[in-house]
Amino acid sequence: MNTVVIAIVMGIMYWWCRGMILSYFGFLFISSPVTVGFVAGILMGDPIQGLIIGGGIALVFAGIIAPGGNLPTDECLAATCVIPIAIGSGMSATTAIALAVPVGLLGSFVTNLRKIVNTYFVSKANAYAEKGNDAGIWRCATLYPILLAIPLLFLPVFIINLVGQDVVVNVMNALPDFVTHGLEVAGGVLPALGFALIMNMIGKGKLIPFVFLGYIVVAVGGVNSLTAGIIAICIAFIYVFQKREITEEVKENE
Amino acid sequence: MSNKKTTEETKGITKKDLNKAMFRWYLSAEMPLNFENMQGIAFCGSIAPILKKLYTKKEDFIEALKRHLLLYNCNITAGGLILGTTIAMEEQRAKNPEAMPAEAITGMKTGLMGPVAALGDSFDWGIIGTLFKIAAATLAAAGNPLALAVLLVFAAYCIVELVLFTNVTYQKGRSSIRSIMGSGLMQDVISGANVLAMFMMGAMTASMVTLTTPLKISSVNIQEKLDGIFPGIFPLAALFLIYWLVRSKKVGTGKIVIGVIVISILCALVGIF
Repeated sequence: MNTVVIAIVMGIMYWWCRGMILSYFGFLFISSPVTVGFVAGILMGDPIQGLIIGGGIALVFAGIIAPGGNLPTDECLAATCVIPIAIGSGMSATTAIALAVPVGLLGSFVTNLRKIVNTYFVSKANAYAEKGNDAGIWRCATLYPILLAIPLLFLPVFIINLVGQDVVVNVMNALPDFVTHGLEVAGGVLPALGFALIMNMIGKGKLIPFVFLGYIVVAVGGVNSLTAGIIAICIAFIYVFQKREITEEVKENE
Repeated sequence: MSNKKTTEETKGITKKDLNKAMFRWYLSAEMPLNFENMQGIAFCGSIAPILKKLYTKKEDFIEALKRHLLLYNCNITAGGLILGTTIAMEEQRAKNPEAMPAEAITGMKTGLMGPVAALGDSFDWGIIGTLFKIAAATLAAAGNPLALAVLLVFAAYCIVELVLFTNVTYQKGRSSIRSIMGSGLMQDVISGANVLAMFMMGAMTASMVTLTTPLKISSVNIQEKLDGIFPGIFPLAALFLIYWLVRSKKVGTGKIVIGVIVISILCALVGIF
């Protein structure tokens, strides 16, 4: 499929998810590097490679949530800009991850810009309210912001996709071997950042032994992810039931 | 006199009205997101048809529209708790403005949007959402398209939450918010999910993080020796180093990303990794 079509589709996906059309469906599903990777992969004739790269990128970003709508980094911008280029140039998944993460950091700039520009619609909506024009307010809530988001969100991703591939391929070819290998190493390590952020978010230092337990079960025991998940669920149930029993006993003794 | 008249004119809110408000809210909540009133325009626009039905006098309708254009910012689907309560309170105000002052409605919204957002962001997104996202990413990284279905299940969970919370609070009124947010079952689910997530962080580090050394000292493969002591010690060390930087040193995500890339390239140059 030609580059223009891919660039348009990637631009639409970014516009949809950060324009927040259908709120969490856009924010969660359209925005996920997994979805972006799959769509880009289908367009380029290799959906599985798209999924693999998208999954790797999604892992790094999994721990990042947006309290109050502030995104510290933007997984969808990273995915829509990097995945098609990575598939097209035959880049390894780990290199793609190392490239995607810094791109994501630019995303917070774009989302903040949108929130500044959208303030224009507040005065407009207030003016409609004065006249009792509810249809006008509804347009301020939906139509106007998504139209405004076209130059703001669609255009940058479209342009990067259009010109990006040649630039990236040339740059990658010009780089010395140790840099490209270093990027692969970084891509292998970066998922640990995602996991560390999740551990930090949970914020319970006393639960650290469970991290070791999980690590040992997989690294030493060699079980697969599904089995590890089942073991984890069992341990979680035991933990909760034990806790409940202890609280009940304490209550009885009192 | 005038009150009695409004009571007679007020039409009841139907199930259809409620569904329409929920759909409009889910569609638009953060489209007009801005630094001035955050989700305010969307909230007002979503319940505007209901307000129009409730307030037949134009100046009452205008006053209600302006009231809901004030700042509002909450988790979208857990915010169903506030959406339902708001509609119930507006319905009462339309019947009897003295018994339900406008300040009570605005006060409820601004007072509860913080705690409800905390519930939604930390429970739905922080715990449940994170588990779903990890599961989807893991499947995808292994090339399995089922990853997309896993994401859709979580998206559906959020919609069910919105519908459930909006309906319950609309029917039962203000007190139901506190009973939902303070239940003991919620605490148990949270602590169980925390254990599950922590365990999986270790498991995922073992399967997803790769870091091995090609170093050899007089034909002795260092990696093999290390694996003999503790398999894959490097990924675990990397995890805890980054965790320590994030937690104790409060280093920003951007700095860590750049740091990891720079150190990796330097180590590749020297040949350690």
